[in-house]
Amino acid sequence: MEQSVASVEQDSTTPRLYTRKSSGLVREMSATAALMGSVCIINLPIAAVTLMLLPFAFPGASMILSVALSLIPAVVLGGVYVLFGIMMPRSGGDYVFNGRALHPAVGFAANFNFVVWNLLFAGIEGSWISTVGLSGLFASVGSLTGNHWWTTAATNISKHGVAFGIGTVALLIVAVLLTNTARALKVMKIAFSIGIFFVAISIAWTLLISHATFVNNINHVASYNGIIASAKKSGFVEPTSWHAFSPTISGVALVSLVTLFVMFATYTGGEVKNVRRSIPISIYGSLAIGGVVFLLMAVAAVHSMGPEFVASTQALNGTAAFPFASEPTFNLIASLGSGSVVFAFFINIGFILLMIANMIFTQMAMNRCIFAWSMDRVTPDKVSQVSARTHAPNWAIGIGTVGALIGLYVFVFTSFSKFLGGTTLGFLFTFLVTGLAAVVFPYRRKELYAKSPVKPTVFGIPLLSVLGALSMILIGAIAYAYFTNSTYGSNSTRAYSVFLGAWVVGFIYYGVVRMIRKRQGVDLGLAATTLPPD
Amino acid sequence: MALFKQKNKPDLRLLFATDVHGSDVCFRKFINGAKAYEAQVLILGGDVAGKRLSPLVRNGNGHFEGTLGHNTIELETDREISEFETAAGDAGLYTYKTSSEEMQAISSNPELLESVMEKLAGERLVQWLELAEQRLAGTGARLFVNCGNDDPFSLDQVIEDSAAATFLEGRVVPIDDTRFVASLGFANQTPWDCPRDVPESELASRMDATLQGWSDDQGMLIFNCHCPPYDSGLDTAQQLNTDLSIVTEGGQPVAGPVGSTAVREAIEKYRPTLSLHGHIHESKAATRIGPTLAINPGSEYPEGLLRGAIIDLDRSGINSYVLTTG
Repeated sequence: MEQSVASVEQDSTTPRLYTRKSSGLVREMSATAALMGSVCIINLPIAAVTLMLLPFAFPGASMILSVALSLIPAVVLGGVYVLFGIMMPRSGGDYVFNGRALHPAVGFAANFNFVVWNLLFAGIEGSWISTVGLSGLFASVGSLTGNHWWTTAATNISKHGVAFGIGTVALLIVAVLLTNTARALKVMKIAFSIGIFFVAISIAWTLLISHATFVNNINHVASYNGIIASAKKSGFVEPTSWHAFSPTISGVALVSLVTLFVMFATYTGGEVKNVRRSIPISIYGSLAIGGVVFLLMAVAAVHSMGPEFVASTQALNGTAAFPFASEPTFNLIASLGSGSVVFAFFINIGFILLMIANMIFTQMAMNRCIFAWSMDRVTPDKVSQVSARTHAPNWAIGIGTVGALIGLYVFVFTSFSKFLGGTTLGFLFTFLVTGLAAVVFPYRRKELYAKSPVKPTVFGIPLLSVLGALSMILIGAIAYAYFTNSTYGSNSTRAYSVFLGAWVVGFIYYGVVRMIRKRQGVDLGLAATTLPPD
Repeated sequence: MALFKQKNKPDLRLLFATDVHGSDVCFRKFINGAKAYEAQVLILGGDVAGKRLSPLVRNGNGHFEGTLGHNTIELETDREISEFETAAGDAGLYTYKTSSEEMQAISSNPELLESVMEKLAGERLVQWLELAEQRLAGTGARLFVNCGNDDPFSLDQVIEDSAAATFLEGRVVPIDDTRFVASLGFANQTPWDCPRDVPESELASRMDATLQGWSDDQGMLIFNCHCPPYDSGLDTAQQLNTDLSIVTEGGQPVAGPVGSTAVREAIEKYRPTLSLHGHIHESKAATRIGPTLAINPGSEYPEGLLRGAIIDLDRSGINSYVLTTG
């Protein structure tokens, strides 16, 4: 491609800069492309589970308000990642932010913790393909058609061995896809596009049908009032109001996990052009889309299903009085309430496709973290080697897949399932550390902060520090809610051990590797040594 | 297992950095790396010239206006001008005091703009080399500099004329008694048709010409080729459409190898102990091609961060290496 010898820079916002002929001057990604890259982060499959748990775990909580309030920590934490991402666009996420702001060992341990929890979550999501997606599909079709083959299939496909088998196959397929990045991205895009289309249609349909129609349709497959009565009989106490303040606030912690992860965009962007535009679009655009869809799910759950009914299905889940063959997730209840087999296919297939898209995105982001550790020589060099044939980091993909399979096994076969299913609290501690990094970065790394193209202040205090402090408060409040409520399964000695263990292992690993590398003549301390500019 | 293997004691530490693209702060950090990293040999691998010019245009009230980032700033005092020039220089920009009439003339004449920028690039390189001479004096560290595909040819002479640095292009240069660096700043053709973009066949013949007369019994061979070897993981860049927009899939940039087949063939043919590369800023990586350790430390110059590689050498070859961000 021939260009003029030198030219006025194409960016119309900087008309007074001139650019000479040199390599690397590419056009920026479109806003749509940048948004598409991060919108897959929105985890609607989690929403299908946690939203329905909310009125049962916190009777009296306003589902809509809890969901709306859950967007606040995501906006604040997203702001931290936006500003860090603009400052260090090519660095690859909080592994580097935290390492540069605090200490390389902290950067590694925080990122290690994040990767461990994400891999565990990838395993959980693998099991959900059968226990939430396929089982929900079979159970709704069975109930709606009265065909017992489907309901038996729904029960069988949720059995531990089958769920593990299907989850394993799904994770291995994702691993194979990831050996060719372009192919994996194509599959992710197709799965997400179709999935979100199906789910959006389904939510719209659930919103449009009246509560009376929903009750009528449920009464064709069970008894709406009978389910509520059975739940009360089994001990579920109906709250006096579904707009109570305290449970609404407590519920924020549960549902915030759907939207907190918009910061993934900073892991995967690569050399993004015009970061001042593309990173906010990625993070806040996906948060806006995800937030709206999640809010609409909450509105549908309240107005069509009714919070009391939703809570009652959860109260009966696992008892003999539970009338359905699958977990009472949003997709199952919405399918049954629609009274339509076609709708049941739409919504359940939609959620399964979203799970697949999310698994690809999560595994890809984690592989990049694992790859980055090796580039810094914290893990063996092999981990960062790419296949000569496919150019894929096969070792990193393999490690990520093994981690996810371990997560799947633990979730399916051990008593950790409640703990892991009810909380992904472990993630939060990495966010807390990132918040701390944001607070101190403008003061500890003045020379880097000074070069940021965006340095907004609030009453003279760097906005990065303000957002960091706010995110620590908000994430701290969410963590407090987890630690003080048995519903989440996070306040046991065993749970504390796991939370702490991931960090301890990260720190010990870093310390041991640093020692070993030193014996080999590799000083890991040099990798992040700040060079004096003057 | 390599992770637990103890090595011999190294006898030479080499600091390699590349693609600083006019960034004053990156160059200063590079020179200061000799002391901070205790490196005896410093190699700057090419693309030393900046890409952008921010003219300081005198306005009607006698002040200057300059653009940095997305902000156009009015500069009233000498101190403000100096601070602006420092910030621009650290980001790799050249500043040029001018009138609006001259700037209009320059804007409408690409050749004139190119010559202004080339002149500024030469002046900055002279300043850098003078600084290096001062800072490296008495340290025992030696500086080796080459140009890259983005650099105008006039910069070659600037380096040649400097007492502070040894120019590397197209020759095999000893860095100590037993180790030799063979360098090539040219690259395979890019979509931007840069000054040193050439066809693969010409790259191959330039490489062979550089190594003419070389024999392995002369000592340890090190390559310093600006362009990374093709399909090595050191050359992964975003794929581009014909309009230079980034190819995306699922909202993610699609990456692929863009390095040189000629450079790869040269590595396979001459089997150097170490091969140092740059050119592809986002492709920080280290890999093995046969017995050769090939490294691209990448570049993060717009953020004022110096990415580098510290390589410890012993008599048998590579003792250890670490990629740095300083």
